[in-house]
Amino acid sequence: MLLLRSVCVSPDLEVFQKKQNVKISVSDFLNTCLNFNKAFTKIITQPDIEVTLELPNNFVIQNFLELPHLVIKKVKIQDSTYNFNELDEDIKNDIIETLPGSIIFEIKTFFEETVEKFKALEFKIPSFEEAITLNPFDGTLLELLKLIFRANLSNIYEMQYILVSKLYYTPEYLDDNTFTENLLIIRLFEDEIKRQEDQHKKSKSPSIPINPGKT
Amino acid sequence: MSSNSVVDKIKQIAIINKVNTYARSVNADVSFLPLTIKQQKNIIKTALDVVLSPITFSLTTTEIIKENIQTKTNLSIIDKPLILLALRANSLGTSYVIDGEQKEVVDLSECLKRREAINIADLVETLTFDNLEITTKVPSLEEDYRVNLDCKRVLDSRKSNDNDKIKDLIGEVYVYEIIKFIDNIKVTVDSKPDEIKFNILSINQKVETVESLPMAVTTKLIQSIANIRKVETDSLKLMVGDKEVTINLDTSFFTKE
Repeated sequence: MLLLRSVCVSPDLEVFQKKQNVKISVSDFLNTCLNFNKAFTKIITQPDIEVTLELPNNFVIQNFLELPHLVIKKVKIQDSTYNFNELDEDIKNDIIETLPGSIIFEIKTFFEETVEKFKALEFKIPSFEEAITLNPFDGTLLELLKLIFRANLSNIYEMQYILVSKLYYTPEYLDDNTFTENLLIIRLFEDEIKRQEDQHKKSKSPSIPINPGKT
Repeated sequence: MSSNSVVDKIKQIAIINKVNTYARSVNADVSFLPLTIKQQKNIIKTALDVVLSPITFSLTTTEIIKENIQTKTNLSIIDKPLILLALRANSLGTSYVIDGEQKEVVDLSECLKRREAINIADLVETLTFDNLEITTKVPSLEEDYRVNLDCKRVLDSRKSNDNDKIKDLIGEVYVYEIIKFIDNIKVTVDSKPDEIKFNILSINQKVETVESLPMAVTTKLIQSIANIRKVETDSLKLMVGDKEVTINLDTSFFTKE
């Protein structure tokens, strides 16, 4: 989602902080998020078995018995590695249920530690003096995401109006375009108008004789 | 890809890492496969069966023992505590915290290194009361499992949230517990002894027989059962300083560090 926002809308996000506009790079935020997985990875080693745990896709669980299915992402048995993203659900279940029972409590500890770490995620923005703490449980992370995906609706409608009324695009066609594509067409249109205006100005200006003294 | 090849590989690893424990009734070491996640989950789930949790726990743990045993032998209920202790120690470690007035950390290996053989025949008694003669037995793990299974089937069909009905269920569990320990009953009528082999009766006949026993006989039977159960719980006793503590074998034993 962040990558789409960065490519399709714009790579920066402007926020008003301490009486000034500060630019946050969406890609910086994306990198921080991509590094979360590294920070929240744990490898459980048992004789001949290695189980890799990563961030769960879901933090809302009914009871901790569901956890192995949420956090086990890779299992290495002797020399063979089984990536859980590539396996069918039935095969994953069979593998998980046959694994040594002792790891269930290591998984529980990993999940509890992950939730604790998640409550105090620090996101550093170069232009800010202090790091922002984002917590998915108190709404701060959600607020930032809302900010990232916020766009000025009147700008979007204005852009669509120009594209339909001046360039005769159909609204359906524009709906299928990304924000950046529409913006690109508008910019090309603006450049075209500017070029025409320049040419017009040139054609209106008095012509300069090539050889002034010879006529 | 089929899961069989992966599961087989994990099982082969489990065979290499099998757990050995001493079985008192056969005076020998017996090997088991370690607990799997599925078995660990099944044990934890038994706590959800609020009313019949002890029976469900007993059934589940015996199923695990039967599934994981690697040595051909006929085990008795007296062996069960040490087997569960060994499987738990292998899975979660030998350190265990006992909740009480003060939390005590105990080392399960103290229990596991004991090798005290027990002669089952020494625990068998013949109880006489007027014209009745009852011979007790120490049930095998399989016999204990079958009676618990019958008990659960019957009680599951009568489950209720009504407190009075729950009390009735507890009373029935008590009858099933006595059934496990009776080998045969001899009744003498007009100087003619009639022997009832208890194991050939249906479960309903066993229940009816126990329910019709005189209270005095039942009291003697319960005393005899308590003596056998004491041998079981002796395996779970440990000294912490100058205090004796007993490990309680229930779901929490497999969930607490």
